Amino acid sequence: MTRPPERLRIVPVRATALVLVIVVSVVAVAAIERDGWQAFAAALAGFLVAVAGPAVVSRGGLRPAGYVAPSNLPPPPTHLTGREAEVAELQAYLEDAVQRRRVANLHGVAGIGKTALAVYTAHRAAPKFKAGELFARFVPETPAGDAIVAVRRRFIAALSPAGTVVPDSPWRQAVMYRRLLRRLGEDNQLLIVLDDVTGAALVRPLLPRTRWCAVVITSRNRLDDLPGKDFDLGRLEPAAALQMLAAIVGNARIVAEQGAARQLVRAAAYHPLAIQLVGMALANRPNSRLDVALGRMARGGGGREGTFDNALDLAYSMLTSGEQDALVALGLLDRRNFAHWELAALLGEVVLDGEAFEYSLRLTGVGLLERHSVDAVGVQEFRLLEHVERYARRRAGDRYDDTERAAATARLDAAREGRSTQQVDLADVFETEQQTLDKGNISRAFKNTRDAVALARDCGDREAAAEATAMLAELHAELGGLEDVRDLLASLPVEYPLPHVRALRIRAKLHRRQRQLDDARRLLAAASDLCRATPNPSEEIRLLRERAIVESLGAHPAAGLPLIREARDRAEAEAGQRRQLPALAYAESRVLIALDQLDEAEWVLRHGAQDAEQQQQELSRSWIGYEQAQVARHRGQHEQVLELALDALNRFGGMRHRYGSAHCREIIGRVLAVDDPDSAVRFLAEALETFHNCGDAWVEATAAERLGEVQAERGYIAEAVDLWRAAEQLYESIERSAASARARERLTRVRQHLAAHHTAVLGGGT
Amino acid sequence: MTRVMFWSVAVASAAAGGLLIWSGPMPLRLAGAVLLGVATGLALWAARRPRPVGPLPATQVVGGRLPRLATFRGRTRHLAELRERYERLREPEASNGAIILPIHGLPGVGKSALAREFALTLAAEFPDGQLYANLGNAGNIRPEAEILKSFLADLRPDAELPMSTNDRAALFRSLTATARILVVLDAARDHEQVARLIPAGANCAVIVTSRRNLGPALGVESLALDVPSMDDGLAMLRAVSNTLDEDRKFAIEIVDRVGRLPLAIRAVGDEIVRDGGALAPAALRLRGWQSEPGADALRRHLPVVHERVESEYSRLDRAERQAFALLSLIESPSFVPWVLAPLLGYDAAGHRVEQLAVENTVSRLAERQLLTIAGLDEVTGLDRYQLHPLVRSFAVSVRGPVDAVRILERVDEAYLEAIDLILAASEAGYRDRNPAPQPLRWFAAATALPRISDGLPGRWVRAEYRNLLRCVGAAHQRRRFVLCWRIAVRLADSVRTASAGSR
Repeated sequence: MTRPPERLRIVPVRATALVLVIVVSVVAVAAIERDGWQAFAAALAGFLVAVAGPAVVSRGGLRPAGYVAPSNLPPPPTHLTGREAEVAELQAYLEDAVQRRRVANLHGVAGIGKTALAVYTAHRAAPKFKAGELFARFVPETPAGDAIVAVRRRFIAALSPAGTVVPDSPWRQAVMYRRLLRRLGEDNQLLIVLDDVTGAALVRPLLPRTRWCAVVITSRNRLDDLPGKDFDLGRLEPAAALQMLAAIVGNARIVAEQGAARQLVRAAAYHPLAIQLVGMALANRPNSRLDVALGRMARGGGGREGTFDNALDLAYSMLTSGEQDALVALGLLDRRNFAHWELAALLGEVVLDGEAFEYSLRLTGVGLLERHSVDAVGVQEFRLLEHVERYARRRAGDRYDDTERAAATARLDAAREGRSTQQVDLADVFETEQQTLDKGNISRAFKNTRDAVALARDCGDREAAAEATAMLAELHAELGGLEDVRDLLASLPVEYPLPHVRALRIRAKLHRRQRQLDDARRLLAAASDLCRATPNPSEEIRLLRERAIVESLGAHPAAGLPLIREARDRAEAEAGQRRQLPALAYAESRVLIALDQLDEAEWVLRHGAQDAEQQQQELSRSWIGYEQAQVARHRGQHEQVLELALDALNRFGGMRHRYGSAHCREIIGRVLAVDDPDSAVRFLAEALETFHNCGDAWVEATAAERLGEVQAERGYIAEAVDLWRAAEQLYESIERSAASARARERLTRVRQHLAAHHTAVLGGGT
Repeated sequence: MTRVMFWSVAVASAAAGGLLIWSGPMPLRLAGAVLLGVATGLALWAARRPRPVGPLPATQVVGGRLPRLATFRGRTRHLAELRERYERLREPEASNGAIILPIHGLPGVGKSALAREFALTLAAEFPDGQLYANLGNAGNIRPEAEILKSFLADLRPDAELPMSTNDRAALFRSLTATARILVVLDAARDHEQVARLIPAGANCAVIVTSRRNLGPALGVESLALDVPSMDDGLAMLRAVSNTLDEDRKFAIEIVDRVGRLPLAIRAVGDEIVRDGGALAPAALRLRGWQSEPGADALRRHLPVVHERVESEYSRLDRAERQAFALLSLIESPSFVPWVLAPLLGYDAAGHRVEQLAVENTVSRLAERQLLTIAGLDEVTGLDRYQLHPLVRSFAVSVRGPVDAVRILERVDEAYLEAIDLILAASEAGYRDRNPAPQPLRWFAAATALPRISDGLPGRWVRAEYRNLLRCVGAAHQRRRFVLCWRIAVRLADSVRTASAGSR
């Protein structure tokens, strides 16, 4: 529900203050009459101290420029069928500020829909709560003290302006929390939802002692000793349950098979979440008859009529056998949160790590698990839903005997032990995954690198974690990323030299792409200095390569030649570095093209292509193909450009490398612009779209500029002007963030285009 | 409490200051002036109440507008359908929170293009701007924190952002609580990913594209996007290859051979542009490799399509991979889940539950868009499925060497057994002349098949036409002549009714 826009209103405190100021001024003026400037100066000094003092204190950031009322509720369920009465009652209670303390305790068995009701109602009541809505879910395994501190920390951060430092000490936190809540008032009320609470002790420190705050607590059992009101949530009415099923699987199916539908919801024990699961399973088989599904349910399950487990039986009976095994194995876990390798350990030899990951994702897809990744690194964690946990335990109890159970638990313990004591090899994760990337297995490189981060975090190896994170940044940079790369590099610790060198080089690459060459050179110089202290041949060669590419873009491309030749000599001479040759050939060609030595570039690329094919480096091969198209373009051999670029496009497409594909499309578009502007528009527009999504502003601007030129040629002046405006903005933003001669140059050119066509449009010509 | 104390101090110092200024020696008067100043300052500071800041400055429009895709064609029905759903969900009590519009379908069927086109038509209704994110990264799940970062960078440039996913999601929702923003979430993997990226405001809308149907999990109906009609496919081909209608024959062949899949049409269009606009070479190439699909044909000729199908295939477990590959042996345009049992050699003897297992496997393959759903099977009451021609090429390429003759014999046997069971239940006197071949091999003795099927419905016979044709031969070969004739008569009937219908 929407909040109406803020209205202007008289704030009583301000009015009082104004009156006070007027009184004091009158008195001060009178004082000046009597005592002259001394009294005036004294009053002014006092005034300044009083204003400046608190201002200094408030710089720590309790309050706000740019503060936004928090609105942290998760998205509401789109529909909430059959709970109209409960919603109305709860909403009325929450909005009734006459109550001294509004604390609603929603309780009911697992899967009855407590959270859905709480969130749904909270959204509906939100417009009455101007100070915002806070939401926190408690994870059962977390010790109470930690849970309270974590939740309070998030609440304080949400109620304070951005950048506020929240103290670590629980006591100071409590003081800060109370102080923030004291700001509430009748027209500034706050709504808090505390989900999945296991005991009153967890929430008591979080309950505000003010009547201007309403709290909803959900828990499986009624919590004792809490102020406020109880809401006992029971199962749905049969008609509402049927309606809910209809909303998920489509009304037509329910109407066609009324009887079977009734039996289905009864079998689901009229539990909303059970009906949701049944509905999700049925929705994937849009034509299957419900009576057939009902038969499956009876065969797949144990026939515990009218229980929640019975409903899960249907969801279970619709899983594939691999997924069923996975779910049952999860019943052996000692906690609800898990990582996919723990599942793999429980399942034993028969299942690979990757398969366990897929099973976890699928069980998430059918609504039995929750998935979460804590940060931008993207390590996935899974969590058994409350009601599913019990079911999985029961199934595990039925399936495994004591020896099997002991064996599985032993495997799990061993896997955990192995991870925490680093029996797994993490050395050289960067180089290993760099090779996976070179071979064009981008997807696998991502997955392996994320797994490496997770592993390094588990065994507390910060350096390995930094290396893996650097690789992740490298992968993102390869795909044309900008913000995401910066994000990852920002989280990198600087105390380990090697990952730090890599981070500097990757940052330089981002600057180079934005043609901010001075920044790139500076970072690369810093990286080279660092590298001298801790030599690493692979990284040194990469640094030389990057420096050469930077020079190829600068005013003196010849400066790149000695750099790239040194890199090549080292790669040829040193053991294990020959794998860098294809990438070096690509870089050398860039320098040579900049120097207009096209024959040499062609020769270098031909050898590079051979090397790449020999070493099965599909990624390097694709970039070399793209570069060969560039050489052909510089020679004006348009047919060859199309041939080469289309081949490279196919190669990139086969790796789902959008950034590379877009580069190929861009060059095809440039060449087509000469004879076939209509096709050129298509290729350039597709390239532009991809670049826009990657975040590489420079190529996006270039593509927009070029597309604008083609459109202008075709007579589509309005489109051309739009595109040039977009290009102008992008060049401006590049130029703003760091000096870039090339960006300035381009900006001038685009503005000339715009100026020329501005007159053309005004003059009525096209 | 503090507020009361604060005001007491302010008022007291003001009063004391006032009194002192009016009386007493000079130093005291000065002190009184200081106190007065302090009181004024405190009062002013206290009055500096935080101004609630609207989430977005009125002038800020977030996100860039993408240019219209020059080659988008057709899909008018789907655009109208999306529009209609959008209007319906905008009704006051129709939904809670932001409007969600999911689209799902085959890889390469044009979900993203449709989402984009629809977003363009909606743009005017979302004055605060548009946010776009691809939720995958080279086929991996893109971390939500990363996507939120890109959103927040658009909403609040230059702001320092928290690192954790939860905090970023909370900030994103806070910033969008009163905004009118359109969000396009492209290539979502699951509902969990989507849930963290939904803006808070009820005046926002989210268009979600995904291969799997996320509708049930998100609580809204998802638009199932199928391959375009032949006419739309031809229009797409014309647009992407920039050709006119001259080579219509080849154009139809191309669109048909790629199963009207837009991604493939576009890839072939690229080749046509390279060939200078001639359709014939591309059509002949397709004809060449499709008539004899080698192990690596799809990868070599349509790598983009191969990559998409492979990305789903790679997520299957070993049993599912085998099932998927063997399904490519079935020649009829569509099939029922139970054919997988004879394909895999699961017979009823040791495999009582396998019937269920194969149903689940087939259903999962369909959910992953490796199979497409082709309507109801009237005999079993389950869904029928089909393989898209290009997906079939892929399945053939991963199938490896198998003894196709023996495997298909098993399928024929299972068919004969099923038909025999159904005829025995629905035709009086059939069993007397044609004793049951004991024991049942592919169906359990207590199978519900004869009970739930009502004879052999005409539509079913038509859907199974090619399989039944095989069955005639298979029954003949096994010297089960009565069965052979029954099937043949049914086939003839169905042809007659079909031709009568068409007349």
